[in-house]
Amino acid sequence: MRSEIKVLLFLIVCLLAGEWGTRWLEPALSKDVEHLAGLETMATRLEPRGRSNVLLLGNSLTRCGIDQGLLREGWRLPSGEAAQVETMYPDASGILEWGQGFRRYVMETGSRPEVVVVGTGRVHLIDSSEVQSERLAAWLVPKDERWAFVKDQKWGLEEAIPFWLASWSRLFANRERIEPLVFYRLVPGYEETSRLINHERGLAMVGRSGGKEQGAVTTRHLQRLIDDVAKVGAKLVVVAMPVPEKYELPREVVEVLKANGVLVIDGGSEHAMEVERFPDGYHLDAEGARRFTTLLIERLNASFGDTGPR
Amino acid sequence: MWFNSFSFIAFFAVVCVVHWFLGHRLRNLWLLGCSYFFYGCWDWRFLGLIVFTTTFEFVSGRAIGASESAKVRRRWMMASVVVEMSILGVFKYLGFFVTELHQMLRVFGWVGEPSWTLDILLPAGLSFFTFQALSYTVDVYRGQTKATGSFTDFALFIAFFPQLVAGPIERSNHLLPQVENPRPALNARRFRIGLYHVLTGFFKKVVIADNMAWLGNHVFQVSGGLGELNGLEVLLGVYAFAFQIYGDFSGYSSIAVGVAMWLGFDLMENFRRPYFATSPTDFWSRWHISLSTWLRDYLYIPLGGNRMGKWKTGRNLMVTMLLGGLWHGASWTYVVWGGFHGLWLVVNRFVVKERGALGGEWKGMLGMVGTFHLVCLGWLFFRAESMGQAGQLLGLLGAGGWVWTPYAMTCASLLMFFVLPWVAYEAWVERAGSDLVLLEKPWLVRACFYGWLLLMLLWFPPPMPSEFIYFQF
Repeated sequence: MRSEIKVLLFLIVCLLAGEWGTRWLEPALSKDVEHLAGLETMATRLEPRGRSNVLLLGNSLTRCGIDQGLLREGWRLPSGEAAQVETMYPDASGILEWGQGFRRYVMETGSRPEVVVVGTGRVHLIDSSEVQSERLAAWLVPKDERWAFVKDQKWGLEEAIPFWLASWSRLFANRERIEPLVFYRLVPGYEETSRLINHERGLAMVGRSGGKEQGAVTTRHLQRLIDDVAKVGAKLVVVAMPVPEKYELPREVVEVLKANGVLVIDGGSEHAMEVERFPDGYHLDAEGARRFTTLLIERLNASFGDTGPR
Repeated sequence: MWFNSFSFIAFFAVVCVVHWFLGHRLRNLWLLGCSYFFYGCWDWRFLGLIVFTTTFEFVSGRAIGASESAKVRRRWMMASVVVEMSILGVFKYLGFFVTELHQMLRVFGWVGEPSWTLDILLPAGLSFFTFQALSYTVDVYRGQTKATGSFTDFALFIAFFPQLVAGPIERSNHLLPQVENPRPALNARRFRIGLYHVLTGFFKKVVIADNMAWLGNHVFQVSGGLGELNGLEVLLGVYAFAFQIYGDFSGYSSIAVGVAMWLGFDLMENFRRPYFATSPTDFWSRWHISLSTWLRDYLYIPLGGNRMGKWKTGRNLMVTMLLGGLWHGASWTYVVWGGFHGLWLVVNRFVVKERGALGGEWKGMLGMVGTFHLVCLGWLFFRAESMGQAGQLLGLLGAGGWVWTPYAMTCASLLMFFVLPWVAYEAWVERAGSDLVLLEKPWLVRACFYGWLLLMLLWFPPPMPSEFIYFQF
């Protein structure tokens, strides 16, 4: 048995070394991890210093679709000061991630943005059954709310175990980051072929649901974010980001936003862009982002000129 | 509850820990309860089917064992065959045959478009546990196994969770005595062998099979139609599927053998490096061994085996392989796959063997490469969505236009990255001639090998987890 114990100890040492190495190299794993790792610093910049702070929440649609420099220069808040824009836009995130990130990096740290701008696609504000539990655990759910979060999600073991493993181990939380890092650099044709993965995944999802709708649309997490934003005394703005095909936000989402008096800027249908502005088929290019941000600034200045941030 | 799920790991940890605190009789009862819970997690409604099969075969076995009359014994044995085949027939084949019959009648204009479809839910692992149950009764009838007197032991023999839903299909004279008698304690040797099987099983399933799955799926489920593919893409896609199905099924079997080992059971090996086979006969002695030996002992030999001359031997091979193909599912592609292997076995037996071939090292190498490619040709039929698709893919393979597209480059690179190191490892094992040669090496060699498996499992998970292919059989 002694040699087997040595084998197991060796494996434990390997895992510990991997854990240490992952923590050390974490920001280099991907731009997304680098962004997530920088959220704590971002939160300190949002602390009230008598300046007008704006938090931009979203995902890659917002990252690519809003020209931050232009927004900083162009958006004059009623105080006459330029908006100090900070960002939280993890890749492939939605309302659950934004809400939890807001609680962890804004509410818990005492940061006080004056305006919270949420950039969304058609489906990102409705509750989703697809949850990336590892990323939530490692980066977004406030540490002392983890038990309550797991309970609230009504997860089974299959979701809860990776959540807890990721909250303890960076090696586990980042385990899916290594493969793209290696393959995008070393495997010829991987980038084009990886688009197939998403396509196959889409087909598989449709196959599993039998092409039927996934049940009633719910907006629990959206309502919670609206309440949390109100608690810190900020004003909420929702921006429907342009994508190649025109869309409207789901009726249930619009009703919640209207009932809570949230300002909505509709780039999904009103300010839609021509297809050429989406070189990868989904995200705006720099020119598209510039044009959309100009429109956004006009709308924001007009709206805040009337009401001003609370 | 898949083997490669956190739920299973948690389930097994509880099963294992409680199990070691119990005495033999209570252990069996505990394992039976856990096995039914495990199966109930798939679909509790079919638990009744397992209990029915178990009860019927238990009663049949007792009746055969107790009777002196050959006639009575034969009646019970036949009843057992009829009942098990009826269960398989209703759940697995009825829908298929009704549809095919309707199609045929439509061709003659005797019926119109169907206004209904027969959609029968297939219970997980049905083909595995019915075959296992049936073999018990036949063994008792043949006098190779003594009818058991304990219903709990027999029920555990049928429902033992590591091998319940995807085999290996155990024999009564191998597994039943292990259930009935006290089992060995978990010692260093058993722990070591179990660890080897569990880790290599997870690696084969998660790293090899699931990473090959989406590459293979692209060829067989290409959304824009097969016209988008070229021959090289089809070839690489079939290679990817070959390693997907191998990793998937042998990975499952390895995990089953490993976890059973930690519970004190020795399950039979189901795979022995099948892609190193040098002939179809050799392939079938390495691939899904528990099924191929089952078919040999309960179908091929009773049909006459190779004792009745060339033609009847050929017929017996064809019948066995056609039914073996049909065992996998109710589809013409499986039947053609079985027929292809049957024909290949016949040709190999009466043409290649009798004429002789190249000798020495070359024979081995050429035989291996040739056998692998013919097995892949079989997989093309096996995996195809329809016979029409199989024909189209074969056409693409032969049509040329072999261009290195991004998919082809990725597929070749990932085959080299995921599969080649494992094939190199298996080549080393094959050369050593011992399945567990790694366990004879110093602990540091094993530790480094396991470290590689573990890091690959952690860092290279598949983009899309896939279900175990053989669960649907």
